[in-house]
Amino acid sequence: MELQWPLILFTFFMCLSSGILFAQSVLALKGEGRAFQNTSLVASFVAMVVGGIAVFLHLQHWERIFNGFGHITSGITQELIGVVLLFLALLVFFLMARRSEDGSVPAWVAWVGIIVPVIMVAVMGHSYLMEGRPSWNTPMLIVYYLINAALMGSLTVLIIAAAKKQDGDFELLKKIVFISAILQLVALAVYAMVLGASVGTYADHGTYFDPTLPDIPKVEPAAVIGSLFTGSCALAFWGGAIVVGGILPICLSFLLNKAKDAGKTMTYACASLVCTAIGGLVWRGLLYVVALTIFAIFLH
Amino acid sequence: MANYAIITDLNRCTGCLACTVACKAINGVDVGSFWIKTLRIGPNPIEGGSGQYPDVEMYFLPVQCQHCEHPECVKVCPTEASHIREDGTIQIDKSKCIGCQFCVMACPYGVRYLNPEERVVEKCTLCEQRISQGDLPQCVQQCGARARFFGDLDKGVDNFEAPAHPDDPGTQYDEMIKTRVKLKDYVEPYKPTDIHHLKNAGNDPKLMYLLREGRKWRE
Repeated sequence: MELQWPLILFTFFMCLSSGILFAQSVLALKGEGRAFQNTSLVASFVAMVVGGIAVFLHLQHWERIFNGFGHITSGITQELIGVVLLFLALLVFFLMARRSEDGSVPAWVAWVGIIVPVIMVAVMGHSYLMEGRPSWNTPMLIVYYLINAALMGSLTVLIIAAAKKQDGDFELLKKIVFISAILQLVALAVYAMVLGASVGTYADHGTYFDPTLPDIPKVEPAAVIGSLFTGSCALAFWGGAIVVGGILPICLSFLLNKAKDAGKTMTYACASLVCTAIGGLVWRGLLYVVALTIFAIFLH
Repeated sequence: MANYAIITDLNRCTGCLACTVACKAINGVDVGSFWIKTLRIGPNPIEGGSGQYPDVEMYFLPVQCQHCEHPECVKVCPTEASHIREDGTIQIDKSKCIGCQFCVMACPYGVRYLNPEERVVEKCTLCEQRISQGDLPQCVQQCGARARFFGDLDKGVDNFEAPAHPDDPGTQYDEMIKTRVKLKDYVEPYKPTDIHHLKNAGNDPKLMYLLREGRKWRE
């Protein structure tokens, strides 16, 4: 399938937005990060808006969303509900922090800020689980999005903390970053294995010919998915998704955990976030490349 | 009310593309787009054969919307533009379609596409405009090999119908298309195990393909 950039950017920015609220709420639960929590909330909101604008660009008739939008079994409807819940969680966090004199929020607000982003990201991943597309139809898609969100969000909050010259340890957040970075690489590896194992689920017509597309070669699921590992997409997969997006964030997160001052924290967190972002975008793009239908014949 | 579907006898289909062309003509399908395509499956080696000609076999496979029992396209549509009509067919209300194309992604058979001019998704309607008036879908009516039959699944596939040339020589076209023959009476004998569906991804495709014993159905 062709790359659907609006959807790729939507999932990317919603992971970022959800992850930031998640990380800030983790800090709030520990009573930390009050000095920069408003900045984090704004960053999360901005990411949500950018993601929202991106997904609107995918709609051909967005003006018709007021004409019957809301079919509850639709992943898009569920995502919209998730985005509204995420916005409300942000708003509640902001208002409750404003209400208290010291900027603290009640524990339940922090828990809402942890749980709602998890639900949002899980719902977003779930909307792409389609039996007709075996490459997407795996819980690993949801797992990857969740880990990716936790990693990007925690790194962003650490960057904001460093930018605000907060020299706090934020040990828990740094541990979340390190563990998330490791889990992300594991999730990528497991997802890749799931893709490899899915080759047998496609229809096998043997030789076939479409007289309306005489110049389009036969679709070979094994070759398309194999291109990730040894073919035309190998550089993007091994270089972009695995090395830049998987291994480098682990190394940088390790150094981040050793960093004691804001300067080094900023440097390692920024570098790790850039690598994670590149890897995340590359992997999301590759998932479109291998998104064959189970019928495995291009008809258009 | 009804549960309409089509069965294609692949032992009879000659791959003439009449269904493909007739569909485009009656439904005004744009150049480059198709609501039904006729694929050639094969030549593939016969099991136990030499692997070389003449030990090969092939058949033609007309592929269109399968008007599934549990259509994923309907499930993922946020506006219910894609819906199941009372007659069991899957239809798209173009005035409701927002062009999100999730149905295109969800369809296991790749038979939906975005009409670039109208910016809405379209696909085979089973000639809704014709079957609602008691006519046959145009692909059934124009089938060059009399391989395609249309009917109500609730009344049994044996009773699916197609037009057939009457025995009386000199019968005109207009008269001929009003005739009806039943699948069971017209085609060569078949068993229930000879009836196949495209690969099922939980959507339970309703359109059927008849390929008798001795020819391998490939999915």
